[in-house]
Amino acid sequence: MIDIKKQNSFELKSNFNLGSKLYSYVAVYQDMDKLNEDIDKYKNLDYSIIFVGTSAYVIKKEDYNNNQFYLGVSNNKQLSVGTSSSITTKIPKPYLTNVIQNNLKIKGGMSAYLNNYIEKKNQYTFITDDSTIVFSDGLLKSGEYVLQYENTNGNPLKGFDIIGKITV
Amino acid sequence: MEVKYTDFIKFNKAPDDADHIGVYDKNGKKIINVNLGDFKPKLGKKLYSFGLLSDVHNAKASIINDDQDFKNALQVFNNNENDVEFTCICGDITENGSSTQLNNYKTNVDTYSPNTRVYTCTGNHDCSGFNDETWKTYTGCERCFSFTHNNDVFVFFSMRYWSLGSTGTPYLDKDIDWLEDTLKDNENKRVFIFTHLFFPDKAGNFNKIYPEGNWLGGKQLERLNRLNELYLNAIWFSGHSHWMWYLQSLPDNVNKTENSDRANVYRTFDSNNEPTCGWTIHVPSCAKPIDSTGSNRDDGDESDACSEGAIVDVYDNYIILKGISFKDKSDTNYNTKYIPLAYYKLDTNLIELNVTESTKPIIPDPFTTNYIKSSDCTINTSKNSGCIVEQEGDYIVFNFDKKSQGFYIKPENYTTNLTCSVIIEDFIYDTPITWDSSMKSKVGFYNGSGYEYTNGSIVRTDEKGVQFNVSSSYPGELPIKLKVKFKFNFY
Repeated sequence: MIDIKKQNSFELKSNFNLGSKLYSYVAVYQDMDKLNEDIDKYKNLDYSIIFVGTSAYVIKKEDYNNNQFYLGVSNNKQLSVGTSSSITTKIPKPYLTNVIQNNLKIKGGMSAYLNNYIEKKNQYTFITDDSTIVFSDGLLKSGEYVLQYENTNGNPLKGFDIIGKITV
Repeated sequence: MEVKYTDFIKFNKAPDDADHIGVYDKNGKKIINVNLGDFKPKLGKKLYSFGLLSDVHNAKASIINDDQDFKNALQVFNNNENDVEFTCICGDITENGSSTQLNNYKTNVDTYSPNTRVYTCTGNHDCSGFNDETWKTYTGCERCFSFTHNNDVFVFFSMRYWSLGSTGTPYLDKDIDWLEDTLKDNENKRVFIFTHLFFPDKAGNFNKIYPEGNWLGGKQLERLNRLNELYLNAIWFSGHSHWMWYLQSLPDNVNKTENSDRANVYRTFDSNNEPTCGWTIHVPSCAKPIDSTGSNRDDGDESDACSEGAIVDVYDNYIILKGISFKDKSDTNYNTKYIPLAYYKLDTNLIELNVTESTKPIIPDPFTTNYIKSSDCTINTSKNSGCIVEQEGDYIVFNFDKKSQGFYIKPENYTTNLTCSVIIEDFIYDTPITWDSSMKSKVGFYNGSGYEYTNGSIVRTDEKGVQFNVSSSYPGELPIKLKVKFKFNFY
């Protein structure tokens, strides 16, 4: 078990499939400065996934060489792989969760979002760029469900109707 | 197998004070929280807000003069808590344009919106017997006008006639000229346009269920579509079809494209994600938002029970459009709620423009050197007989002794495949009776839906030459004599 809150960085070199692509490197850094010190290490690798703080970045070799690798991944968004000008591949973050589970044992440090998925094992939900809400297989059993906006206390948002219903 | 909720469109966003989406089963047990991520935008400093209504009809549902929905909406916007600085209406403020209903509109605005200025354009229901002076008296608005607020330009573009379909001419051509000039003058500013009619292939024409004969069509549509494509910094708000906000969630096989939804919010983008037209936004009816199963038009009692509108929050480079249900079919009283499916973030980043294209029809200048002569006028035999035309110097004298009489004006070399126009240089009511506006509006050059009689007006027509008529609904005394001096051209 590695607590990345207590470590500046660590690396795990391994090969694994993510979607249809073979990735060859995973690294975790506490901050961007430390990553910048080491960044040259990754430039010859086809794909690298690098976690910095609570964010995950993907670097493609060709993009790195063009000095335009895409760093557009936020905590709760699906992971996007591509250049800075266009997104060419989208990888739902739950896949990353599986990667983490399979390759790393992480305690703390990552976003609550990722921890949530680790705790719930393979169940996940996320919102895509075109505003589709995705629920993982088996998360919603057959029946009708109500969706509503809530505040940080878990109360319905004042002045709002429910979002809608979904029938499985 | 993954389950997907697809009722949002890509322009939807979560409200600023939302933390997550709670998902509950039928027993009220929470199943999971959906984290919002970038679905909840990081907002900057709001500049101002305005209220948005359409199809008020001065009525609750179809009952003329039962105007509770309008009164309620005005009160909501006038409430300081909502931070609305003024209210904009996309027309149809009355059911039939009568002075009584216009007066009722004024009374309601004065009473229920004393601190929030209300601006409106006309809708087709306001055009029956329309008169500029009367309109201004009761609404405080010109037929077409603009003003600047916080460096944004607000444009109210009114239709003049209830004239729809492929041959309709609801707008005065000179008003479209004015709109184009206004857009050109402000091409690098954010411009909010309020007009009644929707673009048939853009927002507001859900599944093309609304009757086609009630759409904007023909040459005026072509021209306005081009303005929508040229002036990318303009945001067009419209009404007319009454469609409810939530209808975006229903399948729209006719209109839905890969990159846009056309229920109520629409804009197209090229392969580089650059916009190819200005935003078009349809505003549901305040009096009678209309429902649908996707293939029908359900404007029954449940639509009567509902009332919708919106508040627009304006930021530097985007607007947050917040669709509102003032009352839905399950509410016994007014219960204002924001509708999550109608909560949009619409980017309005200014695009640097230098539009050189003009959509104005090319009219040769000068017109014919000589004035039109009485010998160029022939009686319209499909109307009543008995009218006479005479020559008096440069003037043609039209004599009518019955309603529904008229002439075709066809100068030498005229053929039916030419588009032609007349320009009025002088129009004299040579009859010793008191001419009021209701009489004047029923005699003159017929433009397809109304009569032109003002000096300097240009009347264009596509077929049968130009008509000079007295309407079957002319309300004054007969006989009448009109002396007119005008020129003609082809183009």
